[in-house]
Amino acid sequence: MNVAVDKLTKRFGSTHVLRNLSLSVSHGEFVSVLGPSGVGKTTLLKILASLENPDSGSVQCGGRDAVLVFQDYVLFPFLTVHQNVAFGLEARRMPQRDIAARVGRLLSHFGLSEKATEYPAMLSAGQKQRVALARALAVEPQLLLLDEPLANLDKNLKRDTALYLRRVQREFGITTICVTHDQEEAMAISDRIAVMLDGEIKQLGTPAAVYYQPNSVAVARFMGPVSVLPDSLLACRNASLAAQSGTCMLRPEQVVLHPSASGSLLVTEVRLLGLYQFCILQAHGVDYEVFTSHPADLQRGQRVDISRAAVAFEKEPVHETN
Amino acid sequence: MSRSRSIRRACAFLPLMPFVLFIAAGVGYTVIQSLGLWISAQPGESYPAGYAVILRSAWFYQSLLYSLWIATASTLLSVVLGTLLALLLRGLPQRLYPFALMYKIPLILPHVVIGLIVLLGFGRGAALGRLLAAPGSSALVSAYVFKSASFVTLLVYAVLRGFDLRQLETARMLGAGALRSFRALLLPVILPPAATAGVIVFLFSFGAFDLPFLLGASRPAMLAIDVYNRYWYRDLSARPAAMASLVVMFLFSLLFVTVYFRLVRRQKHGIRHV
Repeated sequence: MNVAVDKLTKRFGSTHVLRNLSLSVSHGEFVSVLGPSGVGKTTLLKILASLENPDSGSVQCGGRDAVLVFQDYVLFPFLTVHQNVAFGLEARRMPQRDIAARVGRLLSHFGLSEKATEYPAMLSAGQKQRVALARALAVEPQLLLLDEPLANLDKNLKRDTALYLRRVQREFGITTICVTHDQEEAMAISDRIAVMLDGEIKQLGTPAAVYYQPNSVAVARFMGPVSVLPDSLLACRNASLAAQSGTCMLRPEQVVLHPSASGSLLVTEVRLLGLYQFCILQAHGVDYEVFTSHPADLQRGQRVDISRAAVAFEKEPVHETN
Repeated sequence: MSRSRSIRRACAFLPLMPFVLFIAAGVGYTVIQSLGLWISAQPGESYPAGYAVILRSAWFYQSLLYSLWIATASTLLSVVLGTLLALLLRGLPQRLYPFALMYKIPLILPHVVIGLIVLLGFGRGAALGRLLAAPGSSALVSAYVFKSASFVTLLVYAVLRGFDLRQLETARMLGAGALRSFRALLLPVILPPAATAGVIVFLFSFGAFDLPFLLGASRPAMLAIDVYNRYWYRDLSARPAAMASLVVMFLFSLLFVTVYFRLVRRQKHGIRHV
């Protein structure tokens, strides 16, 4: 085990930010801590980087072996790109020749050789991020901490950068913990996702596991649109997303509505939300909020039946839960 | 096209004209009197130029050196103490900041009040005076530092507020000690406002009159006191020398500011193109 966080607690005044938070990350793994804003994700990162002290609990493999890359990179504005990357090595009194060689290799790896003599103010957001990564990786930390690494990028750049980050992390074989509030970002980038709500890790597992097999309605709702329906409504009931007895949780791609004049449900509202639709279905005077992508041409006033479609990703095992 | 641009540029300077004319008139009148002209009410009457008098006077050189010493000591102490105070303020938690605003009090106190406070502290019977045993210089430097350190703090703190403290956290994570972080990250931020404040404090202490009048030694006296004595307490023939001293002070200040701005421009040029 590379990183072991055990029962961390942190308060700011009367606000309980972290509550008995535990997390374990294996060597070389990329784990994203996913949660809404203000849930304590950055506080967790700062504790891992030894920039904050917890009120109680322990962290193994934090301290000087961890380097945090902030959301806005925090490059040193009066140092050139080369000086930024060399900063940690000079601080560790590495011989100048070795520093030049290592910095040269990193700049070349990150495609920054031509920017070596430029100052951070002259770089694009993507280039700044690469400099920040190169600066962090130059000191070969045991743990790399990323605070919302894609938050400052255009939507179109996010996916490319996510894949790029993943490739870099694999090439350097460095254990990485990333915090984000963006579900897509976390799923695109991570080996495992830790869903953090109310200062606790509610579920830790592979992206497919936390998406298709959430262990609570709160986790399911946070991971994306979900329909919580009574079993009695469904034609097919082998649901693995059992929220509580008698109900199940379904993702839009798992919900299929079958238009039929004798259908048991009445469509009272339909809204197109891009890849799926939100609709309100009524049965026996009760309204059910449903997200579905089948069929695409649902109409208000139609009668429908509902069934559940199996999805390939569901078969992936749940890795681990807390 | 270029003519209209020239007109626009000239118009932009118009609001400055009264100020420029006022200064030019003052300097011009001083230069003329330093040459022995326009001193007497009698038309055509003139005196010998004052420059030969002051350049042959050991008293003038002693006053010049004394003024430079007071200005240099006051500036260095003000910049160091003011910068340290600004750094201290930047590290304070937000909730304590209202109390820390007390550093601005000397800024709003008139120089005379500060002079009197220091005079009471440095008087023969006062504890500080006995402790330092050199009332003239020490009292004067202390008064300048008391007044100017908060001015330095004001300028440096204004820039430090924009400094992202996470830079220091990042440096620490990368293994840097406090000294390296200060040298590489804080010093480039602090240096420009501290130097600008230093130039202003130096020129002010070099040429000021009120505090030296209250607290300064009489032999040698600060240059401003020397000029005052020559102008008011001697006959008309001493006036060209008094005005010549003022011209020398003016030229020295001009030279000082020119050298400073040249250095600053070169430094900025270096940062952009290294």
